[in-house]
This record gives sequence, structure tokens and C-alpha cells, in this order.
Amino acid sequence: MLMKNHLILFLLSCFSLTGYAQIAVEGTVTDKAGEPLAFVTVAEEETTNGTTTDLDGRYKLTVDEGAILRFTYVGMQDQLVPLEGRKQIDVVMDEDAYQLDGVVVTAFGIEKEKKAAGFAFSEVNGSELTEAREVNVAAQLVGKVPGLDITKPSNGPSGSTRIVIRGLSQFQGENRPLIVIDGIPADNSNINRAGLYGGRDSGDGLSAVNPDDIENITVLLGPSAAALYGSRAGNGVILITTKKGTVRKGLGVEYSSNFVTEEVTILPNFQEEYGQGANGQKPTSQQEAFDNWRSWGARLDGSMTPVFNGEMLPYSAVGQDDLRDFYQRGNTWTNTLAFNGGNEKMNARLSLSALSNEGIILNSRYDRYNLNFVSRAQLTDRVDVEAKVNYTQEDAENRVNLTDNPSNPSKYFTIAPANLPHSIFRRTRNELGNPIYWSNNPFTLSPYWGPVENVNNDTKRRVLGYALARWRILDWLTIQGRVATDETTHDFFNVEIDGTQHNIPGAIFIDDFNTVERNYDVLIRATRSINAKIGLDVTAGAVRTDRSERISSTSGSDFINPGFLSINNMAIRNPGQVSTLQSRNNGIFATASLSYDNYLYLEGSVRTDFFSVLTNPLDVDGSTTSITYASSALSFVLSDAVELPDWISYAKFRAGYGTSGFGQIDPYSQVQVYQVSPDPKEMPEGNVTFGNIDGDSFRNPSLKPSQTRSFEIGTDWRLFKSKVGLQLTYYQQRTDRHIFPSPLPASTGFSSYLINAGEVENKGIEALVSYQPIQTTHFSWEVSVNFARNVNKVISLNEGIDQLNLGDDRTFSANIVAQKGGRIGDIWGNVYARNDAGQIIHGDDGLPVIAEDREILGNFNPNWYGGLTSTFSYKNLSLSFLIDTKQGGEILSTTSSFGYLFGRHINSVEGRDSPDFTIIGDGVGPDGVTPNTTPARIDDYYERISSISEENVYDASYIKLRQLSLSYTFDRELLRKTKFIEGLTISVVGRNLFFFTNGLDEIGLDPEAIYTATADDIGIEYAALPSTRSYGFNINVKF
Amino acid sequence: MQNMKGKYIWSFILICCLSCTKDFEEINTNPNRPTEIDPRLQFSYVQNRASSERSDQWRGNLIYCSIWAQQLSGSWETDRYITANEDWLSAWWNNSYQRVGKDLIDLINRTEEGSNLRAMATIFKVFFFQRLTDMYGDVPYSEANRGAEFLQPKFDRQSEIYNSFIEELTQSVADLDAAKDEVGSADLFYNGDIDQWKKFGNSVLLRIAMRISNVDPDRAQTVGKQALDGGVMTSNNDIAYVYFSGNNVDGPNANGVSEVFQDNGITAHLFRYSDEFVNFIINNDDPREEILMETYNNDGTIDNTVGAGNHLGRPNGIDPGTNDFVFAQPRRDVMVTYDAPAIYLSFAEVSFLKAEAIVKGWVEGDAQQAYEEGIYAACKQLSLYPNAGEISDADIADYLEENEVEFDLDDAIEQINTQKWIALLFDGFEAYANYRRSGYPEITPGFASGESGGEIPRRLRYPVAEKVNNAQSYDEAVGRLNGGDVITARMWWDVN
Repeated sequence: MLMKNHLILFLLSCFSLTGYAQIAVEGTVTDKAGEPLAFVTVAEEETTNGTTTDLDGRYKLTVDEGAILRFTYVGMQDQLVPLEGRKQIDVVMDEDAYQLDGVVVTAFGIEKEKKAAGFAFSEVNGSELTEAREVNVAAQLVGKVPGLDITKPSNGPSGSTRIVIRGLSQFQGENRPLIVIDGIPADNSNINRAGLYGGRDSGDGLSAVNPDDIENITVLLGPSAAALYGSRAGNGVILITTKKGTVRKGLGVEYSSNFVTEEVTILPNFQEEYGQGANGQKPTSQQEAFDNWRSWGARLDGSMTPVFNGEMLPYSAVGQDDLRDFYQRGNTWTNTLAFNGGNEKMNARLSLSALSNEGIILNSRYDRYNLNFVSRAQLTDRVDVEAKVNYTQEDAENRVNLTDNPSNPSKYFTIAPANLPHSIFRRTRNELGNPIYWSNNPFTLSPYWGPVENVNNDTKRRVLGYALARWRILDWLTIQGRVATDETTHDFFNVEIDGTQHNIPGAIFIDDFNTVERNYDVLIRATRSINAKIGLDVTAGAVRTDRSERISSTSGSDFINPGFLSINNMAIRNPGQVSTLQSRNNGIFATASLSYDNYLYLEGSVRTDFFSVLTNPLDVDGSTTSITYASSALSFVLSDAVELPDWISYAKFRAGYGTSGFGQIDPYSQVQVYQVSPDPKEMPEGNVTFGNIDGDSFRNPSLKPSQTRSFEIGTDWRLFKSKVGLQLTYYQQRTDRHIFPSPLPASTGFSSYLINAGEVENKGIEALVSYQPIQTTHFSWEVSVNFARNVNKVISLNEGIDQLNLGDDRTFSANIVAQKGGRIGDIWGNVYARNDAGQIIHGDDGLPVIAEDREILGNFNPNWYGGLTSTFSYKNLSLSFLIDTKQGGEILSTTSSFGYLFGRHINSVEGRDSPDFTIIGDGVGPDGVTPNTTPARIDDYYERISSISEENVYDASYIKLRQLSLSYTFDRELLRKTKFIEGLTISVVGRNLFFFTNGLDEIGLDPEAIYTATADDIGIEYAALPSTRSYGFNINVKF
Repeated sequence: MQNMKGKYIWSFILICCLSCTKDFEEINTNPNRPTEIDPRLQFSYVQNRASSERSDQWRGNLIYCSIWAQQLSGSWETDRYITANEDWLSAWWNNSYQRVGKDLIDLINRTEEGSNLRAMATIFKVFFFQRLTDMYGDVPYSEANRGAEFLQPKFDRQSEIYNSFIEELTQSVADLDAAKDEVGSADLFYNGDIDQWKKFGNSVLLRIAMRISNVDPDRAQTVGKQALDGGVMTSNNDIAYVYFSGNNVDGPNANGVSEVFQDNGITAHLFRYSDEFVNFIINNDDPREEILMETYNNDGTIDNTVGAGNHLGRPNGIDPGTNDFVFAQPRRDVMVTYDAPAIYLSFAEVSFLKAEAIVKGWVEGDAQQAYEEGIYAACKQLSLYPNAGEISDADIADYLEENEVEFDLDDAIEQINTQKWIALLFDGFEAYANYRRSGYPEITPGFASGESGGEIPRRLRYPVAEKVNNAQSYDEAVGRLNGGDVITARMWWDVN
């Protein structure tokens, strides 16, 4: 009780009232087009007195006689207007070219003046996301934001996107930033992705977001901004603000239609000199063609040669065009219709959107429907409410099979003989319906088998919504409460049809996922000025997150009626499995910011998180379930503090320090449990049930949250009448007490146990330079360059452990590791044994010797990356392009490795013409001194090379023309004559057009062709889809 | 001052919030899995798991042992004495500790000392870990599978592991008592029959005695005599095997070895009978030929041009690109059906052990009779396989008169162990170990080079994960190996 009194006293003492001679002023705020602007902040300078405009753009405010009014609005330039005795002030606001003024939305929707922000952030306007589209909106952020490292893996158009902010800080898992939509953390998990043995990527939370609904995206890069989101924000925060209803006369209707067509560009370069066969001989019979599918045959000579189905075909290379011909044109249509409007008391926006995508692989489709409704109402002067509901449905048919999945057509092409045209596989069954196989390797199906015969469909339905109520108790004190839900059901139906060569009886798998996340938060905000110069802004609140997941799976095998796709048609049915996971986080937080004379801002915040997942139910007292973190940031606007030369329009310095933590482990991790077999064993005397210890992870009974401490400094400048803008940030962050599975020897019975250990450092710089060389009435030219560099270092792991295996490549000749002193994600693989002169040592068998110890051969994470955007506008015409680059990363190519193994690698031709099918490898013999003279069989020789990873690691650096667009905006005046069209923009766009440089040019792969977005096996390419370019048009009409 | 106030306020709020964590205990209690189960459920699990998992059988049993014992042959790197594939190398090791061993030790620890369940589980543990140590040599045993107690278990010397085996078996057989707890149908071998478990325990002991017969002949004799006096298996009714219903082919209801042959498609180049194996069968007009083998076309149909007596075995070590469809395979409708039994220890093997014990003079008896009983039992036990029918006594009698089969005391050791080799089809573990111990059958290495330099390998390399995560214990164990962690180093008992 005493404490509570203290609190009230404290709050009251902060806000003593002050009084001067007052005057009432009113007016309307509009944009250049004359549209009224609602929710513009109108503030009396040097006080905290202020209001916002209503839905008609009108405001009323009682101010000091000599006051200066500041008008602030997101995306607009601030306006300062002295009262000068007037009682009516109407203002027209200008768009802000550099968006350095105005406000930035931070945690829980708290708006903060940009100049007060002591941390680095970047913004992307929604309009930048709707012109040239990708199916996953995150993929469109590539190259646009300094410090946002984005890769769209080769996982199909609707697959997930890898987003890394300021480097990898966790050893495993997603390392993703927290996605916050309208102030509420949104589920962005990727429940289904490829591993080394195959799989499909069923997208992430962001793949469901409709870009037409996005007002803008703010990326909070630093720790102090993220501290308020607590444990989930350890990897940064991406805030998405969606469009809301606006007040206007009559109904506002906006329609946009976008069509993009996609075509294959880069295809693997394979050798086209030698065909299928063995021992340098081509097949002489159908049987031999079936057995000897590897490309160790004779030089292609065009002679008629038997192939697997008994036909005689010319023994000549079908070429890359044949491969290109296998892939079809992909098309994506997106149509969005949005309505908005309302009166003073209430407004709303409704949007409907449909996206329909046809992939580059036969029978691969993806459809997405979005419905978004948001409304807010002013119930009284002091109370307003807001609610939103968003429904998304994604229907995917035959998402692309990845990596080792035999149904992945690219896997076939990785090992395909040069002399087989794809068209020969179009028929997958003979007249009797019996499957046609092309080789004796059941794990490599023909390229048509997967797309034509097998089925994988999934449907994802997501409801995301919130209800919010805000009560302005006093002019300076507001309380807000909010309830939000994010509920997803994702149902999968997968079929391996009967006759599939590696599973002839066939099987059906049904998996249903249901995820519900509820967020409840309440916050109190107080904004007061203490005196003319000092202002205080305090927010405190509490938040609860409840998460539950339910997973149910069932499967069956052995089709009774061939080809009838129902689980009820399976002779053998596995009993279903259902499991549920529950967790709860509670958090409390407070943040206060103090301003002095509008040029110095100090902010501090503190948050404590409590995690149910860290509670050991058998030892509650031993659990450490909470972590407290704090941050502070300082912003000093030099240009407002002192008089600077004219050419400096704006200058700001900022510094921030903060801690954050991570305690988000899987529920129930502390206690060993048993599982009872779902599948009772049928014994002659009756069923017997089995039981066994569940899981390979030894349960650590007590775990603590990990902790990240970070620090950043930065500066923002605008020069020469804002023609030049500059942002620069340096940061350093250390994460320690990681929670990660430390490996255990198998002889313990377990493979790992969760521990708190290890330390990782990330440091780097981010820079943004913008320049507007030309700005005339009709012509303008803007150019902006961003750059980021991050240096990652694993300082320590667990005691006695120098290396942590994060993932394996399919050939098991390399792994992805975190090694003490190295970087997370290092590629650690086989190398040649060499003598001191660097010559390759060969063994008694004439084969190159693999060195005993593996070496670090690279890391996928780039040394630096950035983008260059340039826009030329002439009258109504605007041309812009985006070039982006990543430099200094490496990729491990399994396609390359398999190329050597099966004889299609572009570099696997040397020595092939030798009469006895042998080669003498270049280098020295077993003694390490005398030249190697021992011949080795050609296939053995290249098989050995396939497992020497240094031959299969490539530079993943690139420079790419990411986007080019040309758009024409019709004159408003002209359109007004039509009486109903208010705005019309037509654009022609292209994405991923071409590479200026590509480190994988030689073998014809895309440097972004990794197969997963997670840290675990980052940097491995395996039978990737060919990369594509897309182009199309976009029409946007406003009525 | 302000700062102090801030701290007070925060502390106050934190205190208020402690109440908000009171549900955490309940929320974080696993609703899907129990923290306690009846240990008998684990006993059934380990008995079954030792043979039901496809990938473990594929790798540990077939790729290494059956191929090196030259019962089978195939286009695997191991057939050319290469052991580069780490995933395969570690499969049986991982299965032994992380699957079977983990629950076996856990259930023993949770069972009352002296109880029947504990005795049976201990006998099974010895049976099971003998396979492991016989593949690698020194392995973690006394400290293995003990959770937090030993996060880096030491590798015990094989000789000490064998000492422990003998002690544990002796004690467990003595502990078994029909008046104590009933294990019942949770025991997949014998439905909890105490007498049969005693026989099984003594039979395992006899196998162990024979294994050490070269390195420690005196002890071998003592232990072997103890086992035989205590009572070993007496008929095919005593065979320790796991039954599979064959329903549900991916789970525990199917034989793991059969899954390898069935699941991967008829067109796969997987395994063929080795020519050594086929030749011995054919040369002696073995009545088992028809049940054991068939030659298949690449579409899965039977190659009718090949009949009894004409089957070809695949020579070990030949070029992997060779067309394998000319070579004989296990009959798909008999030997590798999903519901084929997994035989852990057979009366036939016990008879051969007994015959050898008599020849070695450990006990009195008629070696020829034991030998012929073994052959008879080996032929008759094929009736456990679906669709196999039964080999007639007359056919077996004819077979016993075949040149290489007819008992000859001078060649008895070779004859006994060659017959054992045939009887141990699909138990590559024992066939390979017995070959290394006895030197029989006489087989010629199929490949002239490889890691073993053209010799039949003597062991498997340790998994790399053990080298990385259990470095000190690993290094000590490797230090005791002749030539380091290579496939030519020998077992402690492999001194022949």
C-alpha cells in the first residue's frame, strides 16, 4: 500500500500545472491534394500542450498568446506556424522527402518524435511494396533497408524468407526478428521447411500478409527500441502498420491489379560432352541403360543408343534448352479492392484481395485470399475504440519438393544423363497403368513423377484481430487496453502414390497444425511538461502472451484402390498422434522520456519478463523464470541546439545501450517423460504396448534466459537544403548464457542437453546516404545508397566444447558449425591432403587423399551488403531501379558435389577420353614428394572429388538488378473531369532481372539458392530450383 | 533520488507480478507424456527395437556385418572395405545407446533388485551389448546410459566388459524364480516363462564362453561348462525370436531387415547373396535353397530361366555398376516378408556351440549328434518364416550325407562354424563375430584394396561424434588399439 502511495506521489510530482494567458485557436489541416488529414498532431511548441485533428482534419486548441504551433504527421514534413494573433490557422502539409521528421511508431504503438529517437530505425513506405511484387512481402525488402539482411531461399514462391538483423545471435533456430503488426506481436513461425533429406517450405507468418494493406514498415534495429518487446525482440523488431479508414466525403474506393510473369533465367551448367553409361562405354541394351544411368559413358557421338524404355535415341546432348523447356512460365495475378470512409465519429476500411500464383513447375499452384477490416470510433471526447479483423486463406497445391525429396525435379536434373530429353518422361505410366522407371536408383524419380503423380496440398487459415479501447482520463493521462488474437490452422495432405519407386505400396500423410496466440496488454501513458523547456513522457504497462499449439497427424500406407486419394483407402492405417503445447509469458514494463528544449532527449525503459517454459514443475523453487532488462538512449539534435551554417539543415547524434533476453525454449523441456507407443504391437497372444523415454535430449532441470547486451551510436544529417541525407550507426552486441543443445556422446543415451553457456558477439556499421541532385518543377532525380557490415564472432561455447554442429550437408562431407573463434554458420568441410608445397597428395589407389582434419571453408553470411536505389521523375513519369549486392559470403553446393559423383559436373570431363577409363591425378604420390603416377578409375576419381568440400564451396557474392519500374501517374485535374476517378497510376515492373556479377556463374546457380531460412543449416544449396526473373504491370485506380 | 523512487516502484510492481506466475507450474506440465510408466512397457520396447528399426538393421547388421561375413554382397562401399559414410558407421552405435540401451538401463534401475523382470532385462542387456562390443572393441559400458551421472562415459576394456557379462549372467540366471514377479506377455520372447529364460541366459553364456575360447581357453572352458551344466536351449521351441505381425510396415510390427528389402523397391541395388554363400548351398544340394533364394528381374518378377541349382551369387567387391539382377536374392515372399521373425539366438546355434564345446573337450558328449541336431534345427526353423513350408526329415538326412556336410572329426571346427554361418543368415552381427573368432567359413576377401588393404576387416571405426564429444575417453580407447581407430585393429578376443 505504501508503495502505491509512493507511485501516485511520484507521478503527481512530475506534472505540476503551469498557467499563462490563453487563447483558443482552430483550423483545418489538409494535404497538397486538399484531402483533410486526420490525427495530425498539433502541439504548442516548448510545452506538451497539444491535440490531434479529427476525422475532418479539424482541430481546436487553447494556447499561449505568443505560441508557435507545430504540426506533425507521419510521412509529412513538420510545420512550425507562429500564432501572431490569429485564431484560425489552416495548414497544408507537404510530404517529407527524407522522413527524418515526424514520428516513428515504436513498441505497443507508442509514437515517438523521430528526432527524439536515440536508436537506429528504418522505414519503408507501403507504396514501395505494391508496385513490383513478390509473393512473400518480406522478399521485397531486399536491398532497401540498411541493416536488414534478407535472402529469399530457393524454396518456392510461397516459401519463407530469411531475415537477419545485425547478424546471428543464437546458435540455432530461426534468429528472426519479431514481427509486430499494429502493435501486436504476430506469429511468424515456419512450421514446415526443407532439411537435408527433403521437405517443402510452407511459408511463414509474413507470407500471409497482403502488401496492399500495409501503410508502412518500420525496422527497429537496435536494442533500446527492442527492449520494450522483451525476450522475443532479441533479434530486432519489424513493425508493420496497416492502413486504416480515413475521413472523407463519400466512399473511397481503391482498386489495384497486378500481373507478374516469371521465367527461368539461370540454369545449372552441366558437362555436355559425355553421356550415360559406365567405364567410358555407352549402354548397349535397355537393361544397361537402366542400370548405368550415371554419366560415365562415352563421348556423345550422336549414334542411336538404347535408353531405359527401350527406345533408340541419338546419343547426343539435349542441352540446357531442354532443361529450360521443362520449366513453365509462372504467373501471378493479384487483385485488391479496398473501401474506406466514414464520418467524424467513426471510420472504417475494408479490403479484399486475391492472389493467384501458378509456379514454374507443372501443377504447382498457390492462391491467397485476404480480407481485412478495421474500424475506429470516437465514443466520447475522451474515449475511442478500435477493432480489426484480418482473415487470410492460403491454398497451396504441390508446393515445390526440395533437396533430397525424390519428387524434386531439380534433383533429377542434378544427376540426369546429358542424352535424355525431359519429354521422354512425360508418360509416367504405361498402357496398363504400371509405373515407368528410368533407373535402378529408386530415390531419384523422373522429373515428371513428383509433379504429375504425387500430391501435396495444404491450406492455411489465419485470423488475426484485435480490439482496443483508449480512455483519455485527463488531458495528459491516457489508459489503453487491448486484446488480440492470432489463430492459424494449417492442414497438410501429402500423397506418395502407389508405384512411387521408393515406396511402391504408396502412402498418405495428414498433418494438422493449430496455433493460437493471444496477447493482452494494458498501458498507461502520461505526457506533461514540467516547465517551458523540460517535458516528460511516461508509459507503463503489462502484457500477457498465451500461446498454444495443437498438432495432430495420421498416416496410412498401401493403396487398396490404386490412385484413390483417401486415407480410408489405405490398407494400413497408423493411429493418429495428437500433441498440445502451451506456454505463457507475462511482462511488465515502463518507459520514460525526458526532453530538454526540444533538442535533447533522454529515454530509459525497463521490462521484466516471466516465462512459463522456464518453470520446472517438479522443482518450482529451483526455476529462474524471469529476466529484467533495461535500456537507455540519448538523442541530441545539434541543429536545434546551436546555430549551424546554412548548409546544414539537420544534425543529430544518438547513443543507446540496452539489454534484452531470450527465454523462449520449447515447453516442457526440463522434465524427462516417457511415451507410450501409439502402435501396439500385435503378438499372437494379443496386443502389447511399448513404452520408452521420449526424446534424445537429456533434460536439464534448470535453465535461465539468455542475455544480450548491446550498444550503439549514430548520427543523422541533412545538408544543402536537405538535398543530401546521411545516417550512420555503429553497434556492438554480445549475447551470453545462450540456451542451446550442447552435444553429448551417444553413449550417454542422449544426443544433447540444453544448457546455458556460450557467448557471441556481433558488431558492425550501417549507413544510408541519399542525394537529390536535381529537383526542378518537372524533373527530379533521387538516389540513395545503403550499406551494412556485420562481424560475427563465437567467443565461447560450453566448457570443453570447441565446436557445435549446426547442420550437415547431404554428402556428409561438410557441416555447418559454430566454432570457438569463428562465426556462426561456418562451413566446415573436407579438404585435400596437401604437402608443404600445396600439392595434392594421392594414395596408393591413385585417388586424392582427404585431409584428416576438416577446415573452415567459408560462411554464407556476407561480409557486407547493401543497395542502391535511384528514381528519375519527369512530369508524371517516374523510372526507378534497385541494385543490391552481398559480398564475401560462401555457399556449399550439393549440386556441385553430386555433379562430380554422377559425372555431370562441368569440371568432370578431364581424362575421360583415356582408353582404359583412368586418370592420373595432378599432384604427388603417397610419399608427398614424387609426382603421382598411379592411375585411378575416372568415376572413382571424381567420386572422391565430390566429397572434398573445398571443390564445392563457391563465392556467394553478387550484384543484381533487383528491380526496375516505370510508372505513370495521371493528372489529378484531368481525372477530376471524369467525376469519379480520383487517381490512376500505371506501372511496368521487373524483378530479379539480371546479375552484374554472380560468384556461381561457372556452375549456373543462384547465390541465394540456399534451401532453408534458419541458422541451423544455413549456406547449403541442394538441387535448387533455377532462379527466375519476373516482370509485369500494375494498375492502381482510386475512385 | 528519482532513481531510488524508480527502484521502489519497480520492486513493488515485481512483487505484485509474482502472483502472475502462479499458474506457470501447471502450464508447463507436459499434458502429452507421463513422467512414470510401468518398466515392463520398456522391456517390450527394447526387445522389439533391437530388430524392428529399418535403418539400424540396414546399416549395422547388413551393410557391415553381413557383407563382411560374406553372407551378402552389394554395391555398398563397405563391400570394397571403405567406411567413409559416418552416418552408417554410427547407426548401430547410436541405436545401442540412444534407443535400446537408454531404456534398458532406465528400466533396470527402476526395477527391484533380484526380481524376474530385472534378471530378464539384465540377460537381454548382456546379449545386446555383446553385439556392440564385438563390433567396435572397447566401448562405454559401466558408465554408459547413466544420464547426468556420466556425461562423458569412459570406454571399458573389452576384457572387463566380458567379465561383467559373465557375472551379470550368472547372477541373473540365479535370480530367476517362478515364485517371484510375473512378467507375462510383456516378454516378447517367452511370455515370461522362467525356465526358458534360464535356458536363454545360459545359452548367451555359452556364446560368450566360445567367443573367449582363443584368448582365455581356461576361463572359456569353465564358463562354457557352467552354461551347459546349467541348461541351455533344448529344441526349436526355445528359440529367442521376436514375432512380427507384418501389419503396419513402418513401425514395430515389421521386421527391420525385411523393411530394407521391401520398402526400397524391387529395382533397388541393395543386397544379393554372396557367391560364397550361394556356392556352398548349391554345391551341397542344400534343401534350404528353394526357401532361401530366387533370382528376380528388374521389374520384380521372378526370372524363370534360373532354377534350383542354377542361382548365381554376387561376388563381393565387384564393380558397383554391375547389373545385379542376375544374382540371387532372398525370397521376397518368404525370407524378407514384413512378418518374418527376427531370430536373436537359435537352438541351432546353441547346438553348434555345444558341438564345438565337445570337440574342444569342455564337456563329455557326442559332437556329431550335436552338429547334426544343429543342422536339423537350422532347416526346421525356417518354418517360422511365412510361406516357407517345412523341410522334410528325409531331405535333411540326405543333406547330412553331402560331401562337405557329412561330419568329419578332423574338420569338425570348420564344418560346425560353416553350418553356423548359414544358420545365422540375417544375424550378421553373430556371423561376423563368429567368423573372426573361429576363422570359418573359409572365405576369400572380395576386394584387393580399401581401408583394410584387401583383408576382411576386423572391426568398425568409432563414430566421429564420440571423438568430438567424449574426447578423453575416446583417445584412451584408441590408444589401446593396435594401429589406432582403424578397421584392421582386432578385438581383445580376436587372437586367432
